[in-house]
Amino acid sequence: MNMKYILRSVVLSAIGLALLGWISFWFTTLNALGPDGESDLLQWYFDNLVQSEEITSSGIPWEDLAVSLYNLLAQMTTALLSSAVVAALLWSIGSHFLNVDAPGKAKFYFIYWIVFTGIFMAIVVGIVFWFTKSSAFNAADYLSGSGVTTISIISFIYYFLVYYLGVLLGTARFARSSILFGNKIPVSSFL
Amino acid sequence: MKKTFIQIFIILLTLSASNAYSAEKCEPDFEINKSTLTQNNENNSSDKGEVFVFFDQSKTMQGFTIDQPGQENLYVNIVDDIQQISENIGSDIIYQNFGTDVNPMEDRDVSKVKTKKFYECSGSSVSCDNQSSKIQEIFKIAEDYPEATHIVVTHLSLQDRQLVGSESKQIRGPLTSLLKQGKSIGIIGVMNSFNGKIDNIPTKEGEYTEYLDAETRPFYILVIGNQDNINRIKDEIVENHFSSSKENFKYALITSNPILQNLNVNKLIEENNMPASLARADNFSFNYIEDYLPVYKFSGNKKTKLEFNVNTDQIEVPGSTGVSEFSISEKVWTTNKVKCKDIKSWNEAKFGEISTISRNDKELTLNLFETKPLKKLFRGLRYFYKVDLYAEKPGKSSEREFAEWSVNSSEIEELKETNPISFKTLNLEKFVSILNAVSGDTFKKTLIASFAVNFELTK
Repeated sequence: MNMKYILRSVVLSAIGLALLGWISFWFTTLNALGPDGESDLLQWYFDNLVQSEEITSSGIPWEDLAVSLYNLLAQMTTALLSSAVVAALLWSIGSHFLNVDAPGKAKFYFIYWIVFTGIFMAIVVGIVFWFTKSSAFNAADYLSGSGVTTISIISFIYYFLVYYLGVLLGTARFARSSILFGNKIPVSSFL
Repeated sequence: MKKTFIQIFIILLTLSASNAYSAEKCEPDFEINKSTLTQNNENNSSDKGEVFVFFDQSKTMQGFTIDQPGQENLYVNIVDDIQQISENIGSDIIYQNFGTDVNPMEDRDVSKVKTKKFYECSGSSVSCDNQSSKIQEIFKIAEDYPEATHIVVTHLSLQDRQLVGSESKQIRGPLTSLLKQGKSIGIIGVMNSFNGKIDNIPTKEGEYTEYLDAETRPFYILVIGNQDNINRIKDEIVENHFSSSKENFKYALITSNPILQNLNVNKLIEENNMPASLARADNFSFNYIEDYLPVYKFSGNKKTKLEFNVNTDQIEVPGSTGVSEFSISEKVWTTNKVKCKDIKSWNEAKFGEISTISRNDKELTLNLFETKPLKKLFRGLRYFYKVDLYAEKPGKSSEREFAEWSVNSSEIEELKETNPISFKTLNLEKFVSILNAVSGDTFKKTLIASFAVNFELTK
């Protein structure tokens, strides 16, 4: 096993993760800094994620209540991004150790990948559920039903894409066929 | 030098501590509605006043003085008791008889009340038959002498005409005036042996008939005056004659305010007005603010049971109409700082209706956060919920109490045809209903209790 190829995979995977992952990092930073009364984000949360009528009736200004929601989202996106990074790197490194020597091995590689991806997505679902539906965070009470749906859909799609780009670029060349559309990207032969 | 530094340090420490304390806002700013209602809102003077005793002299009352074999006759003893109690509670006792007119009685006539002779009619048979007792005249006298206690012994059968139009006004007017002055009316009913003629029974043809076969029939003692005197008379009669069974006894108190007291004034709200489980909640404490408003403070979760229970005995005057409708005035304040030392201000929430009221015979229950349940509130916030409980409408329990002994003019002829051993009182329920209506008119919305819950909602 050549360490050079593994390091190359790690670097390529990191590049792939960074292509979309920077958005999550930026979003986490925004949330970690807390609400700014003038920001559009604060208003967007109010209009789209939370039970705005209940919040208004509580009498507490939304900006004050939003502090804990910002904290929740900062922690949740950190957990999700970390999971995507860890999963993508694990697969990228692990792909070098896949050794299938049988007819139709591409199919077996794909099965490995889809099972691994399934586990990753289950973790994403678990993280989203833990933050938005469990009693772990008080701020989860502010979220409306449609807000939880919005967060869930965006998280599932976005963090899958972050992970996907990470594994697409980082998977060992011989196992790249395991990745969905792995052989169809135009630059595949150069990586 | 060192000593000076220590002194300065201590002063600064004290100042900072007092500042921290003064900044603490563990409850929001609000005005406490203090009730002026005390144990009894009447002018309870210890001075003995005048007592007017009125005996119904209509001929039908004779039946109470003559023993009926197999039936207990309490009339004579109770008349004795009334004379004795009157002497005890009053400085001057004025005895009068009434029928078609009210007339003063000579002292020597008073002892005759227990005899058949007292009720004999000296007029013509036309004027002696179907006499109606002009009870409205007595209410007028009571209005003229509001400070006196008025005791009326009567069969209380009233004709329809006495309860409508101008004759009804002659009852309602004085009664309104008396109730507004804080006086009350006690109705004591005693089912007694009867051996005589019940006349003045209206027929469907518009005539009057009579009934001779009744063996029992109720008579009544109306007491107009202070609640204390009314209760004293009632208690004495119960103690002397009905201590073992109240089967033949009924009592109702008509008062402008059937509310016994405000629970805050007498500091009767305690920890155990809330479920016992609440006292085991985290950070539970129970204190009075300004020596008036009790506050239950605790850390609760979305499953915390919040019920405030009060015994109706504590709030309703015994024997009175009671309260048929209660209402609450409620307010909630919120803050996202759960520790008192961090709270700078509270925000008034607009939750609308939050709690409901339910009651049974013995208990009034405020189901706190039933309409707006705790599970819909946000965790991580502190809530201050203040409730004022009001009596909104007087009840009708006294009507129900006497319904069993009452018969309407439309039903009395049919009742007579069944040859009852025990005869009922004509229009008794209507009469009590008039008294209740007047007490309802003079009733004012009354604050019964105020309290608050101050809690942090946790997981």
